[in-house]
Amino acid sequence: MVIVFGFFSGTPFGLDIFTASIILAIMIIPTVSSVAREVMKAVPQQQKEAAYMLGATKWEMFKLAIFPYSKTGLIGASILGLGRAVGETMAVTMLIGNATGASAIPSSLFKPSQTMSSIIANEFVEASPAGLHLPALIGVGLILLAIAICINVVAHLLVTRMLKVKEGAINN
Amino acid sequence: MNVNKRQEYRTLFKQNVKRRLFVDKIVRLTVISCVIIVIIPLGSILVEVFKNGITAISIEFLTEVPGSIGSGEGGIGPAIQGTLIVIGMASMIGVPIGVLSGIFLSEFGDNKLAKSIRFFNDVFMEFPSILLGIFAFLVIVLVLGHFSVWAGAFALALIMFPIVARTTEESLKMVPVTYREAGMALGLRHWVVTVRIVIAAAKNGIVTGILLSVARIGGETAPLIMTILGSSLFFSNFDTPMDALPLRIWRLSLLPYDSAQMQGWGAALVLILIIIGINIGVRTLVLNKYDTYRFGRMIKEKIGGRK
Repeated sequence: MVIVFGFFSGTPFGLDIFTASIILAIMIIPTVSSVAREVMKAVPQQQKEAAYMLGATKWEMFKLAIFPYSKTGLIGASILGLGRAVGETMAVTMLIGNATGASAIPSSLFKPSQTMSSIIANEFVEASPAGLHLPALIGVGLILLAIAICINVVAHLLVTRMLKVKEGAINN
Repeated sequence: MNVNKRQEYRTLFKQNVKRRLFVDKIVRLTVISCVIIVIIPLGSILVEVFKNGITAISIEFLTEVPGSIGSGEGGIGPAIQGTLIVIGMASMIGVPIGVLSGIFLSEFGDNKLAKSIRFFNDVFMEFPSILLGIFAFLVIVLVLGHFSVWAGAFALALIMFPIVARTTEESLKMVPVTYREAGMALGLRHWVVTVRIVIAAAKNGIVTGILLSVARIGGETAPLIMTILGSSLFFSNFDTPMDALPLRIWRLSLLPYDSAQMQGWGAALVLILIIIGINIGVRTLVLNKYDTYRFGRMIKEKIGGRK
């Protein structure tokens, strides 16, 4: 219980991790829902009709036919949304509070913090190319690049595998 | 089976059906309420921007250079001009590359090379835009030694062309194979079939994809910070920093003055109106209503005939 209360300690000020998370959630909904829709449409019509034929209601049809068939693709859609959220810059920069130094590691959800993309956006213009500041920021960008590539490759492998099933199925 | 037992089964069955229909109804209500929860923020964004932005807009606001910080005077003239210039230049670089690679993927894309290109194109499409900004900074700004419009247009074109390639490929694939075969049967060469038949039939889809990517790059801020930097002056040449609407909105929203924030809302409204304007303008100029109708019916017939 102490841990749970620790998450929510402090006074909400508005510019904190919590606000930024809500905005990110709103921003990734279109990505996730459109891919999820595509994946569910790829379920063969016969599967759905078979479930209906057994007397299933719409929800039972979803449970019996659509969900097991499109599970991989739905996971892929969620990871795709995660990839969007990782790279999102400006909305997060305006809301996360841009803490620097030790306070950038937050102790609760209602504390300001910093993300990889927000620190690049905030400090890039002021950084001088002569010193280590600019190379350090580009290094942050390299880590972000690696994470983004991993997330997106995994997500696309899952989604395309799902959609390939559609082409091979006895749908036509 | 005696009558009593049959009666018992019947009531059991009725209860079971009632329960299942109840669960179904609850799930349906949950799903619908989720949709409403999703729509509320989207609608409220538009309402807020219009409500707050409409008071800031005037002729001076649209045409003048920004006044001194916090005075609440001046306007966003350079930002509007800069956004239009940078969108135009990015389109000039991004659209030809995107459309041509889309044609390659759709018409000549039946091999391993095209498959891997398609995959990496999909991955590239989801890249964080700030990384493309850093790339443009390293390749152009550091090499030339100053921030420039070229770098901004290059970064935006990088965001643009995977989207255009993907949508072009999708819309070319919608054209029925029989159209291509008819062209082949007349003895036309492959490229003639592609250019004169396939692209002509899929024009609407291609234009829609281009407009989609324009809408996307119109709102990009992150790559512009490190490429065109922002300024308070009107455009002079391509080798100097320039202003753009997303950058101006960001700067204005960070200022602690109420007047500046109202100007930020106004700039946001102008940006939305510009994107909508480009969309409607291109649609009415390029797209032919009859074509749209015919193409839609053709696709419908194809899908209907397959089932």
